[in-house]
Amino acid sequence: MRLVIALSVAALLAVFLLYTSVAGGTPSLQPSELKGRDGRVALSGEAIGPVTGNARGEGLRFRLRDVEGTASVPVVYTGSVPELFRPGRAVHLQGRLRNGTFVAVPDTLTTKCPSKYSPKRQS
Amino acid sequence: MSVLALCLGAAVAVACVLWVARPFLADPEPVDDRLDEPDELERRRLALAEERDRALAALKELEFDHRTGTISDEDYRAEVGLLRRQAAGALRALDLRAAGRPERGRLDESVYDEADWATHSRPDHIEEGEER
Amino acid sequence: MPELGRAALVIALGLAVYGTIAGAYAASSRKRRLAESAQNALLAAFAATVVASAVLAAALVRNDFGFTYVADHTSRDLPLGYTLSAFWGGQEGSLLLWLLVLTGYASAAAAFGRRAGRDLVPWVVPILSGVCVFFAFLLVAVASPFATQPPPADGLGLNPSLQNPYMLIHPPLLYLGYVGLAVPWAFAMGALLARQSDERWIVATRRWTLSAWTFLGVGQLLGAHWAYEEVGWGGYYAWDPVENAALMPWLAATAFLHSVMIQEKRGMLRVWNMLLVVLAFCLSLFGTFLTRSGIVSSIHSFTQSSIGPWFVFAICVATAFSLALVLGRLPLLRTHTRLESLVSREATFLYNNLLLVALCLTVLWGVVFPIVSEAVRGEAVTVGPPYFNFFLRAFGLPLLLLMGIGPLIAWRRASLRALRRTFLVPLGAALAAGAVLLALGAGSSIPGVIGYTFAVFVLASISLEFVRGTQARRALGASSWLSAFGSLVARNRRRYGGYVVHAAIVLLAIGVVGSSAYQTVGERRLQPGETMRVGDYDLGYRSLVRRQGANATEVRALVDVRRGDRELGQIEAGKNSYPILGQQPQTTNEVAIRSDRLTGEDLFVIADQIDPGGAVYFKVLVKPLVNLIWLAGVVFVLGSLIALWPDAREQRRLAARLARVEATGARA
Repeated sequence: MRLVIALSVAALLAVFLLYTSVAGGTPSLQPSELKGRDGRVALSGEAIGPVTGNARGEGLRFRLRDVEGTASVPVVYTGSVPELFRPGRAVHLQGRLRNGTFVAVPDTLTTKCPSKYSPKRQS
Repeated sequence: MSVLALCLGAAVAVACVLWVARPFLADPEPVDDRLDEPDELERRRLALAEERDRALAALKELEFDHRTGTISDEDYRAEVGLLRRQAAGALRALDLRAAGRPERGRLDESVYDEADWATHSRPDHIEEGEER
Repeated sequence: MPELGRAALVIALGLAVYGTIAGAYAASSRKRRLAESAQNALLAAFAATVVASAVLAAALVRNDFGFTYVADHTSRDLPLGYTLSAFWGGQEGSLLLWLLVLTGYASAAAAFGRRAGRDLVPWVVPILSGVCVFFAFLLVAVASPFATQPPPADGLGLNPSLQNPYMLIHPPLLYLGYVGLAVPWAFAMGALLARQSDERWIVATRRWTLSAWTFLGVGQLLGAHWAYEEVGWGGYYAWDPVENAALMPWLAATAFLHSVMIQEKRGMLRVWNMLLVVLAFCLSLFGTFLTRSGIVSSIHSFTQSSIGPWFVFAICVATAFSLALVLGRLPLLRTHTRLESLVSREATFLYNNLLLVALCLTVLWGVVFPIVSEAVRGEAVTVGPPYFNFFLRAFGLPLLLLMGIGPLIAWRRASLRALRRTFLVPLGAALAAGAVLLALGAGSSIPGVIGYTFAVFVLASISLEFVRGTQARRALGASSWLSAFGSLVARNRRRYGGYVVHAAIVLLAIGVVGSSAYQTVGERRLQPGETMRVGDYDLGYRSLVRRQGANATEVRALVDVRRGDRELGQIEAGKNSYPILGQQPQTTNEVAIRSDRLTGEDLFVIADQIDPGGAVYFKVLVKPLVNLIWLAGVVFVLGSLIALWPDAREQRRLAARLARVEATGARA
């Protein structure tokens, strides 16, 4: 019985490790880490304006900046836009860097839920 | 506001301390300050009682499965002997424990009457003349 | 008044420390009065926490913005219900709720535990007090709800997207679940400390575990419903870390609920059960931690806070303590009972456990992977829904099947002959259903067909159990089918309550399969007057209306719905715009969901983008059978209630078992 359990556990571990390293996930980066990466990545940071364009048209354009930092990258995004999206919000999307602009995969834009996210208080 | 808060806070603190100290205040010269817990002998009895309950429950469940058709007649006949012997053994072991005492514990099996629809598995049908 | 709150929390902390130290000493030195005193301290800690909670609640109701917490989470125009829900809406308040529920549960567990395990309680008290120490310490020293400030004119308020009834009920239910898992863990550790090798700790905590598990399950379903209706992206579960935070302890607890049955019946799996209860509790702490620290990026996380490292410390201490105890008492847990056959009900329980724990660990791995990969490779790699969905199918489908197989197999060992008889009808029903489904075109999704087929198998298996049981009772002389059924369930509450819960899970599975594997999606930009077709539905966009609601401007696209030649009415999808002082207005998505009562199908319409000119970009989803998920929630609660219901016969039996021991002991 112990053998059965031990073998199943070992098999399981092997499956996870294999899956996550091969099929794998997407690296989560900030704009400052984007240099030179041309594969598909997940980018997170603070959205800064001006926000132009049409997400259901030629593309919504804005810049994404490091949460704590100054490095930023222009982003073009098509797809559904969460209603919480606005400049100053922390956002997350997937895509790849092309010619200096981050081209997002459609419908991958998410914003942090503001529930416990107290806005910065002016003291 | 603050004075009220202070008073209420003090009141809560005092009440809590009193409540915590209550066992000592209520019984300052205790006859026996030992925790009431089962000793080794009692624990053995408890373990045996659990064994017995487990065996009787297994019998009851066998009956249940047989009546609902999950187990065929042949499988039932093959199993029931083994389970009855186990139950008998557990009952006997409990009895032996009781035998060493001035009064033999009376086993009250009425709590197993809910097996009323499994008329064969009531303990009084368990062989070797177990105490009923 | 904040001083009173702070003082009450300090008192609670002091009582918890006393309870831990005095209780541990009393239990090991067998001192009765000291043990009682420690137990009293636990109850007093509950009272002190109630005082602190009352102070916070009163401050909320009064809109006392001198309390930083109240100013941060409420505003003057917030309705009372949501003002009160702000109690658990923020970091500090939610920790206070944790402590309140914990001290309440701990006092109750110690008081009621005397019946089943009077030598256990002296150990349970210091263990639970120890957990209270942690939370009380956080509240006193790290995240106090009673910080003060010069009161501003008005508070920051609650985000409009959180102003819905779910905010009132979802968090408290989850907390009742999370905290509830501490009780079986404490009793398990107490049993080890008291060197008990019997099952009394399981018997004493069975209802605690079951109710905590039910609360967690219902809390999650409500969360899913919230996401579905209010957030409105078209789904109900996104495998977000915060969602997984509640799923993991629930899966571990499900496994635990099943494996303790094996221990009760056969005396096997003792070490496994200990490890499972430790896993469930530690995952519960971990889940609480996940939603609080910024450690894993999630759309829900709190901002990076200083509370994270404390939680990591606490989880490490709890895990180390528990594992050390289990390892130290390993000889006590040895059992000689062996698994007799790989084809037996015990074996199916074991497979069920392995699959549940596997799924739980999969989810855990997916949640911590970004942290692990960051530590190992220097960059955080996130796994997304494809990973989780793959393993949900890989483990979930066999689990579904096992639910149906279990009742059909006998204990100890099942012969091929018996299997052939019992499997016949459910297997036949499943194969027939499968064939019909394939003929109807469900073959577009292979996992979908498999899921449906397994679901039919399980439903047939469960129905047969009820039918055969009722028949057997009837044969014994029950007066009618109804009374036979009633007495069947009443006399076997755990078993049949369990079957009802299984039925609920099957409904859930069918709903999930239908709404994910067989959903249809369509997107189009429509001008007023244009139509689009998604699935069987024809949607005609009529016009845009703008109106003023209670505290928001509402824009709605009016859409006529037809199916075939039947007019199904008009629905409205759009957005609300809430003005916020000093900021841009906050918009929320207001989706239109049209539920078909008969088929459980939903037509889900999102007005994704509304152009000034009147054109609207619509995203439409047709989700078959999705309402079965919510129905499953109701059935789930019903089944749990049946299994939880006090059983006089069972109580008498337990009392007899224990009383005999005490009586004969006294005569020695």
